[in-house]
Amino acid sequence: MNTTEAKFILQARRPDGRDDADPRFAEALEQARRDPSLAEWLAREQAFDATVAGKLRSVQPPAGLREAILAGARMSRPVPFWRRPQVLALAASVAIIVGLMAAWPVMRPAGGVDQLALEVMSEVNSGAHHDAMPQARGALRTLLTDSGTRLAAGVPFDFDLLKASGCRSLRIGGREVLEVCFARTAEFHLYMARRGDFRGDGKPMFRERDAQASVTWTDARYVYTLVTHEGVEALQNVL
Amino acid sequence: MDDTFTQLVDAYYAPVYRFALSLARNSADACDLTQQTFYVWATKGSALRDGSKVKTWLFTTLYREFLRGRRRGARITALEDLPSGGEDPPAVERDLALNMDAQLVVEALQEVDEAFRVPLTLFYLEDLPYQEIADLLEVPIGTVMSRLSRGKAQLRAALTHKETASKVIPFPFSQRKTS
Repeated sequence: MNTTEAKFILQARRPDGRDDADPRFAEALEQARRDPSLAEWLAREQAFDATVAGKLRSVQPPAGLREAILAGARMSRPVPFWRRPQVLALAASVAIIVGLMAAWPVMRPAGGVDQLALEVMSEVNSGAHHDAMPQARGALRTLLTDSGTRLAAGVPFDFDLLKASGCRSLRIGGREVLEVCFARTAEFHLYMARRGDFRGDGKPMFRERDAQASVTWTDARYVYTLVTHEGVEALQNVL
Repeated sequence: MDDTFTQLVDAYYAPVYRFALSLARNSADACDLTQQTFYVWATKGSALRDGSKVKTWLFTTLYREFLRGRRRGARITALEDLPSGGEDPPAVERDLALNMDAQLVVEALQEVDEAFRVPLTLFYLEDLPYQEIADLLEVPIGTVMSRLSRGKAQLRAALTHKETASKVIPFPFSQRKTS
């Protein structure tokens, strides 16, 4: 290895000495140890390199760069597919639809008591009703068949308990309505719904149609419609 | 953002920025390059399985981002057309750089042709083994050393020029009296 070759290699020797173990440098370094002029050249070269390296390392990144990198990466990091806006929007849409479907019975605008009265009067006239003909049982039957019982104040039985006890349930305008039939001097068909499901001012409202008479009224919790074929007077006697 | 990424930024953002500064030639572009490099890491870095290669990965990514960011059709320097650094460059006293402000040294480095500046900067940052510098540049180690030699020659010339310029004192123009 001549001096030019040795210089070519040694100029690439890094000031921190990390390259000394590399065989490519070892031979050139050995030559520098034997050649004073080469050693002097190497010392100058290394001092220069150390100075430039030190200057370069003293350059500090601008204030805020670190925070900008972290913030930028945080904003830009890949979003899992399930957190992508399109997927989130789709999931939200599905959730809304499912929620609406679940809440529809509650959110649906209440029907009017007129609707309830007309529907149950049609029901009483229908063959389906005659096939079912549910009869009050137990305490409810005792209460309803007692000629002294007035129903204007409502029926003191819980809607869900009545349903559980076997009262016939039907849906009118999407709302659940219970039906109980009983007889006094005439046959009566009592329909009962939750008050929030049908709008009405609470005053008894009589209606006659096709030889049927009905009265609709409310108490604090429920809406009632009582139907009979015996006319309004029979209803007034029960109410 | 997880702690691992924060630790990675803390460990490498300064040398990455210095490398970017030598390439971009101004601080704003260097910051952009640095951020872009860590952005690429944040999105693709998890694919790197060898944790000891993080530094090399960052420098390589930065260099590629720099090259990608340049306009297509930009001048591509043919190495054989570049001026030779000479086989035995003139010795430059250490004081030449020692007495200079770091900013001036960086500016001098930025005047070195890009083909030489990249290995030269990596050489001074002392962060990568030669083989990894060679891999980064996709050239043999011998070529890295050759470019280093030429880069140093250009750096010396730039430093000398800057030192000379700094010694020039503007001639004070005499004030004319106007009547």
